[in-house]
Amino acid sequence: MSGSNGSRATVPTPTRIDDVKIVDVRFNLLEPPAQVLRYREDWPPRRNIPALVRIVADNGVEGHCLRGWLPPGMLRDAAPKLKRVLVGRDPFDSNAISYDLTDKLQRLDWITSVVDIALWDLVGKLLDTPIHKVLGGARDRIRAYASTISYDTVEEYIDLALQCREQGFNAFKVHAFGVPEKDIEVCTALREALGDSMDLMHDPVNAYDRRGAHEVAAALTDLGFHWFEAPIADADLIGLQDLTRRHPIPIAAAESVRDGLRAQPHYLESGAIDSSRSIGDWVGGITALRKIAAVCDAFNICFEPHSYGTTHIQAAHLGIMLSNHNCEFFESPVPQGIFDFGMADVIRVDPDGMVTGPTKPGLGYEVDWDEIRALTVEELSVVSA
Amino acid sequence: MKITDVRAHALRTTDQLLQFKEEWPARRIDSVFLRVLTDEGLEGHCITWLCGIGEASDAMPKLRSVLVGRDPQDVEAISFELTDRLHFPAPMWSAADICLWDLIGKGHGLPVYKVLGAARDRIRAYASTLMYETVQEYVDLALACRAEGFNAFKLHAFGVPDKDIEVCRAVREAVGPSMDLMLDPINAYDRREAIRVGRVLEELDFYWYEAPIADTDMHGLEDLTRRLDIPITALESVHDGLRVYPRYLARHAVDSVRSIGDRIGGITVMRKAAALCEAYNVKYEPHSFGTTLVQAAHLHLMLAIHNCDFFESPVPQGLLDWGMADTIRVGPDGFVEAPTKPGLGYDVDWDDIDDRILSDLDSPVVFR
Repeated sequence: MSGSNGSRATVPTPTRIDDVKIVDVRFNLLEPPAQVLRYREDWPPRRNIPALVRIVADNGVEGHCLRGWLPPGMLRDAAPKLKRVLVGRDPFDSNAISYDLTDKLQRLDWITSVVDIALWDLVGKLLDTPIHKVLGGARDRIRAYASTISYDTVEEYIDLALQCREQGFNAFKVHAFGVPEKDIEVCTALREALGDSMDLMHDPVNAYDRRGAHEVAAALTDLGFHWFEAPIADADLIGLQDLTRRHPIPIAAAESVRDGLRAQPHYLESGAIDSSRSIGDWVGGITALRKIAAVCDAFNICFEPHSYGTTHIQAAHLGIMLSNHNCEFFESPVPQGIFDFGMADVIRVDPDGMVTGPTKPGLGYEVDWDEIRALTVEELSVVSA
Repeated sequence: MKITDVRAHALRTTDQLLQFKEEWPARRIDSVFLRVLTDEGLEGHCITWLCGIGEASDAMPKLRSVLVGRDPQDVEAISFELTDRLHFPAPMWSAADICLWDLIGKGHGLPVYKVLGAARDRIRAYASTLMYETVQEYVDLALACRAEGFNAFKLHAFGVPDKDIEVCRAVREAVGPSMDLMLDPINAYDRREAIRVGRVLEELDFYWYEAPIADTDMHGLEDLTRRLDIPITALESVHDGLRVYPRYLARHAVDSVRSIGDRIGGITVMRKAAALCEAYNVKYEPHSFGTTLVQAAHLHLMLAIHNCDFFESPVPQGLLDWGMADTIRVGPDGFVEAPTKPGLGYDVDWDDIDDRILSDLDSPVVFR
């Protein structure tokens, strides 16, 4: 297939938006970045294949979402469905499209979620408005925390935390080893190095058993941590309930629950968690995140979705965070810039530790076409696939 | 015994489009033949049909890196690793688990259910349909199944309340009390529709009422289970599998639990789910709708537990039997018998497989 990714996502003027139709969904498969990623000791390091999803409208406007990992085989599998559901549709029918893509939010995956995000980018561009304003702005800025990958030594965490504080961050989340004693060691060292200058969180990504989780929860309570994330398997509802009851430190979880929106009440009704997390790029994109935020609002608890990933994944979640009240923090991957490949615009923390919403339309962060062209290994169109 | 290689082939299946309810479009089936090879020359097999060809290709590097060099008998360790400690079960990890059990059985010269610890040698079967266009087709099929020996019949109807009521009435009228009947609308109804259909199924004396509403709607299921006398069975589409079941069991939100073993982690995880259900004194009724080897994997589990009433037999019989030398068929008294060959107990037909191979999934997928 010939590369035709030169069509710019600028808004032609004047734009009629009452009869826009989607004409194609395209994928640029990109060269994996050199960075090897690790989040837990028992998970092998990985290099992922990123892809740029492009929803093309008949007036030339494109909605984009670049994600750091979209399995190429699954993308190929998904092409016929994406063609059937999206081509010929009005991009403003996002709730209808969302249900068609996910079988009424009953079958979730990375690809359809990223397509939903790209659809919202298209909607924002057609309206010449940033996503958080289309969704209904609640605020223009939100506090950010720096969120790490896994390192080999305690020293590396401390150096990174100090560097983040320099950059303006006043909150810092550790992805450590996923081993209770080693994690307590790194958390203790961080608190010592930083004093009270930063709020601290810890995320072992579901690595502990119940006993290990209680030990770490007690230690983090003593260290005055801000939250304790995903201590045990998210599916272990009773284990979470018990942790939430017994320890003063707030428990944040439910990110890896694969059934998304409709599993949230199980956790909220039973008081199993203090705040709820979601991965919008799994649970059905912005359309689904908006609903989960509303559920949490109804239960009077914070909805703290991740925003860890490429600039576009960050931006999609930022859009939800800025259009809701019940979220404390934006999650900023550090060292800042590690997932910014392919972008002309990026998100950075301000000197006061906040991030500010974008002013450009849609997700608000444009790709760098020269870089995308250079990184593109393969291109797929659902129309010509 | 050491695993030396893992191979997978995309298979041509059948030109027939399959449909299970109106709101799902009829679809062509993809199918992947997974082979786990060993230094003793034995191979473990599974033909899975729940994941796309691309998804299967994506899974190959991890399958190779986890399996090669291992002893198939370390299946608990291997399956835990593939599913990241059951956090992320998926069709290809489940297929690999089934291959390992096939190898374990073949290594011992025993059918898998004997290795698991047999509870019985046969189990009653129900015929399980596709979706058809007309009521008459369901009636004709039910009568044909009865003639083959089945005395239980499950409809995948339209997923539309009024039409489903109509077809259930017609089938009950046609077969009288000679068959136990079940309805499975595959999560299609809302809560109100579910009650309405359930009342009719009670009147028609159906045996169970499956997946009436979204499986995630725990309160809705709880309410249906309380209000209706007909047993509610559900949870097949709960994607996280084992660790989600306790919350439903503790609230008595379902009367029996269903699983898709070929998605939630294979025989290893089904064995745990069966024990959990037994502890709650609840029936564990996993599906067995799939290829012959998928049927076989579930059959072995069913024969190694007490708390399962039925084997699910896709009808018309033979529908999903591509690539096989041996197949599973109902007997004249409505039962299926345990296989006698070792492992899963049903051999592939290598000539037929050769004819069906579309591609080898050994290299990364390249877009065409």
